[in-house]
Amino acid sequence: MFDRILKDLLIASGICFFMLCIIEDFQPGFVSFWFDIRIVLYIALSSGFLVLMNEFAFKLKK
Amino acid sequence: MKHILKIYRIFLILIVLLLGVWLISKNLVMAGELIVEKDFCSPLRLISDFYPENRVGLIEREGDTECFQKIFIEPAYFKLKVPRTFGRVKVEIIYQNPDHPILQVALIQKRVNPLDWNFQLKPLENPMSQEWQSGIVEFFAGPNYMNNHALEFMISAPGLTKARHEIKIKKIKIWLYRSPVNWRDIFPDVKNYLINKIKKGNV
Repeated sequence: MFDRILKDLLIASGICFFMLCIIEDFQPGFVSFWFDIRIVLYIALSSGFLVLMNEFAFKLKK
Repeated sequence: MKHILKIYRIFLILIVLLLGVWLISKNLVMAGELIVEKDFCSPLRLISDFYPENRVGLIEREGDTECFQKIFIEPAYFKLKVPRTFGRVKVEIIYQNPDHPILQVALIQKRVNPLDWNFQLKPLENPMSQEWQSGIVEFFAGPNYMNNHALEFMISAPGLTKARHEIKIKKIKIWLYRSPVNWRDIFPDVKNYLINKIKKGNV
């Protein structure tokens, strides 16, 4: 369950980050004026890290 | 458990959608007014620093809170990235100009050919000042002034180079005005905005 929650969060934040970068034309512009894109990037990175750790722990357990 | 996961997924999708809608509504400038400010201490990417580099100094710091950039050779330029086309632009600059008697601000028209050189030039009321002083000028803008999603401004002080004077500028504040978005016309407006964004035209 926890694993699924993390994976969904990773997918959602990854898609969201990519979408924001496309809106920005991959250069700093108006999205970064209203909203700090790094928040989404940090969520994606930390959830990705937790997913990896979880997988690693699961493999160790096996 | 499955229900919780379903609700959680719906919640994530809603957050992403709401973020998109909120950003688009911000970019549409629903109220018809947008204020952008640059103080040279913090990097604001919407208003550029002055350029070209060989005519201006680096950003200097005075105390903890004041930063400024010097202009040695005129004209110097700066750009403002804008999300849409605006009808009217008001520019306030805070400057220190102890020696030079003329100081003007211009809004440059869109360049179709590299040799195009049209602009609206407005003089500042009190160009000379030992202390920091504020000067405001107003321009009519429109699609003719959009240079690649940006408005380009020029700071002109004829004779500055010859007289070896310098102008310090510490703050730029810009008010942008356009007609507000009506709730009745919001869908055609959003559609128009998105189409132009994809085409990279003037929105």
